[in-house]
Amino acid sequence: MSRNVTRKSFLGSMAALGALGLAACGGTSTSGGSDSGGSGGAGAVEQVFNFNLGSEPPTANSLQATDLFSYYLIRPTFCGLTRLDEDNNVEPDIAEGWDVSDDLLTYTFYLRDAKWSNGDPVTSNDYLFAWSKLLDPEYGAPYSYIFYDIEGAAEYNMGEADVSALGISAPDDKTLEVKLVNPIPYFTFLCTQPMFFPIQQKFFEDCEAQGENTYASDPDKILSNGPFMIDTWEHNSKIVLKKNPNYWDVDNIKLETVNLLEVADNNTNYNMFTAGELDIASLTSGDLEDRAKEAGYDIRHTSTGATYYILLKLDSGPLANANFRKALAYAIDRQSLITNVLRSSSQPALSFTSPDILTSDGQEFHDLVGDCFKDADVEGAKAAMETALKELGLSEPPTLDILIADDDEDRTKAAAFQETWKQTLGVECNISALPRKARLEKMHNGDYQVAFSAWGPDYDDPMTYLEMFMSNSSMNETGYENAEFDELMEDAKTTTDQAKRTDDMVQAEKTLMSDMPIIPLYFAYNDMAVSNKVEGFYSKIFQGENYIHAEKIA
Amino acid sequence: MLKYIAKRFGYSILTLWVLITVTFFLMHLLPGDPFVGDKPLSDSVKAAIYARYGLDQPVYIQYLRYMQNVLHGDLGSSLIYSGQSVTNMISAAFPYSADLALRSLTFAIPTGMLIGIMAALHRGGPWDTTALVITALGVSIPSFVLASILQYYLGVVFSSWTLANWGFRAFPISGWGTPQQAILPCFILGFSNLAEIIRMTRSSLLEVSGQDYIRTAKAKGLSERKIVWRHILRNSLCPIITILGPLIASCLTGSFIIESIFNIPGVGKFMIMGVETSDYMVTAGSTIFYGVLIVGANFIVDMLYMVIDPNIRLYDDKEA
Repeated sequence: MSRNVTRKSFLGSMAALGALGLAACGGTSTSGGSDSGGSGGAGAVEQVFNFNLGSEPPTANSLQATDLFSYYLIRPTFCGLTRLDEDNNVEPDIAEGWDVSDDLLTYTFYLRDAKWSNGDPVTSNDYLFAWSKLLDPEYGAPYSYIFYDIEGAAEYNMGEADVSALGISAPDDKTLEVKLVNPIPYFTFLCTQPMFFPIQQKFFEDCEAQGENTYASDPDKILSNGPFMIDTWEHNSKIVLKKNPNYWDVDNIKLETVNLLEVADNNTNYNMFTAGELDIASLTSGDLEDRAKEAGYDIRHTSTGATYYILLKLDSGPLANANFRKALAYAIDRQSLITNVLRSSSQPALSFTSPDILTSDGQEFHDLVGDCFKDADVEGAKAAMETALKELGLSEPPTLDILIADDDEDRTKAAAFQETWKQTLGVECNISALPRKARLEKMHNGDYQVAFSAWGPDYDDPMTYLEMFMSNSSMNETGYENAEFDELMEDAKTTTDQAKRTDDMVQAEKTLMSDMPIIPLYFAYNDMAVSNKVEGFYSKIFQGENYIHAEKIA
Repeated sequence: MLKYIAKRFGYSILTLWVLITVTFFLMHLLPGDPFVGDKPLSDSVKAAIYARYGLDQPVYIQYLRYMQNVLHGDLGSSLIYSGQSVTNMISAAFPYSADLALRSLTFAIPTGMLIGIMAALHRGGPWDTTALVITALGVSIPSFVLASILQYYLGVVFSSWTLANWGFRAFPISGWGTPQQAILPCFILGFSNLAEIIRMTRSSLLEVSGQDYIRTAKAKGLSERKIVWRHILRNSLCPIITILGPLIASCLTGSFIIESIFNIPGVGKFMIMGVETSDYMVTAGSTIFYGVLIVGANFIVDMLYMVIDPNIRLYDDKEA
């Protein structure tokens, strides 16, 4: 949902961070070991799915969650008004249906008869409450900005208006009405995402009365309305999910139990997979992928939707010059970086928005934009550098500072660029490595020259990638400002003509790439091996690893 | 004697106070705030979160509040893991680390001392060679290498073979709870300590053996056994006990690497996790926890000195 979203990079940093878990408690062995390894004989197959989270989820509270691990816990235990099918089409979930006004500004959702895990009915107030709480300025929910297209949301969240200004209302228990300020075509898509999930007001307030952050801290402090509910949560060790008998669509759920383990070590994770103790193995390195290939496992490569790129601080010396930035971009050999350095199945990025993203009129955005430059274009890079030096009035290429996170992946990437830029362009680089949070703080403060970043989409629309480069965006860390770009984006935001909207955004991305405030590197893919005892499992952008409708077979 | 105990105890408390205070202020000096995410937070959101955790107060007020809570045994709540108290996190994980540590030391201490003693008594013999080989291996092979190798060859390759032929897995890959699961991690954690114990025992024994009073004992015609048990062993215990205190304490605080590779939910990761995520509460809490263990172990060692080393009693009485 945000930067650095891929499982790979998360696991990479978390391995160093050292979250770990599983194992046993109170004398019970939890590792599948001899019993599960050899079973699978006569009779029905036990519907138990074993999945490794890799780390302890920081929270199960949909109002506070921002990270992959928390979503791993929230997605299977809650459901929103709408949900995504296997092809990421929006379909009804708790909302049986909805009406949209002609100006695309008013949505009326009609809720079906659904229950919470304690038997209480799910009502429109559960959504109204969760959304208002998330926007409560005193609550400080990090994802509040994603609601800003709702009437009054930005004003209420920034303390400029009170809660009555919010354009969300519940005329009765089964109807929810939402008024928007912009005709965004992806509102029903947003409703599939965890921050839009409901919370029962009474339950939440009862929990919080026992102390701040008590809601969702343990299984008896969570009320679920999703396919599964949390049965046990041994913190920093293991979480067990059980099928929720009160889930409205429970007939289509085959798994009875899901064991979520917290194995931090990548090799251990893979070894456990080969022994049948895990059903999915994340292949976080080229070596593991080689081992999995050799063993003949079902290997899947799935796009995460994240674009990895180099962030440039435009007001910083030579980086203010567009030709200088282009020279840096053209010189990089992305294919070689992916095959030789990262050893993954990621794809070279020669534009910014991920190829998986569709426009609101159903076209493949990436195809409309096309490649904006050539990969490893040494000649082009040299020519651009020559022009840049003339424009800058320099006789020698300047030196750059690269800010990286203190981990192996960043170090190898930085060394690769250092080498390429020196060889091709004669540009020297100094590398400074900082702990993750210290590095992010510097980037947010604009205190860097060259840094690595990644962007994962919040919803299925190019807007989620391009919006952050508008000059008034708080996420714009490059200092990029282009009136033409801003105007195209503003147009795209306000028009109800979807063809024009698409065209505006195509032009905007082309403008962005010709200004090159960022250097796209690659579209990140996840590589994983899937057990042949599992059916119906898939991994998909916006959904992550989805086992909700999976089934264990003999 | 009481004065000696009181003095040691006073020093221990002072050490802990200095440790907590220095850690608290150093942490706040580090760059990187706990709530910095991949996306920049708006100012109003940031202010609300800071107020919720009391981070909007001046640091000295936060310090006074923290000290007050610590004295009541409350280490605060994690800033990253919502609703989790640091005391609970540590107390849930500590039994695993303690179990692992005690089992591995039960293997390492007697084995190490035995090999060390035999090596010193029979210099140049097969015991000495064994000691040399184990010491060299124990010091030169990092535990993560040994752990990965043994996990793969015993846990994966050999165990698949036993599963196919005998119907069970000889060594589980990871986890904690059954005796089988304990074998590999305890052996590996014990192995690196074994080398240190052998080395200390051997050199300490050799040093004592060369002392004048041993020669005197021999000249008096005491039996070999008596000389070894009464004079050499007892006098060489001091340096060994000196390293055992901190060694036990450091094992109890959890081995990050072993716990991570064998997926044991112990305390080893908290310190690293706390620093990496700027979770002040987890960092400070685990520092205090480590501090209490290490200072406590040293205090016990000081007390043991009184039993085994009469010099300390005499010196203290004279000074008094």
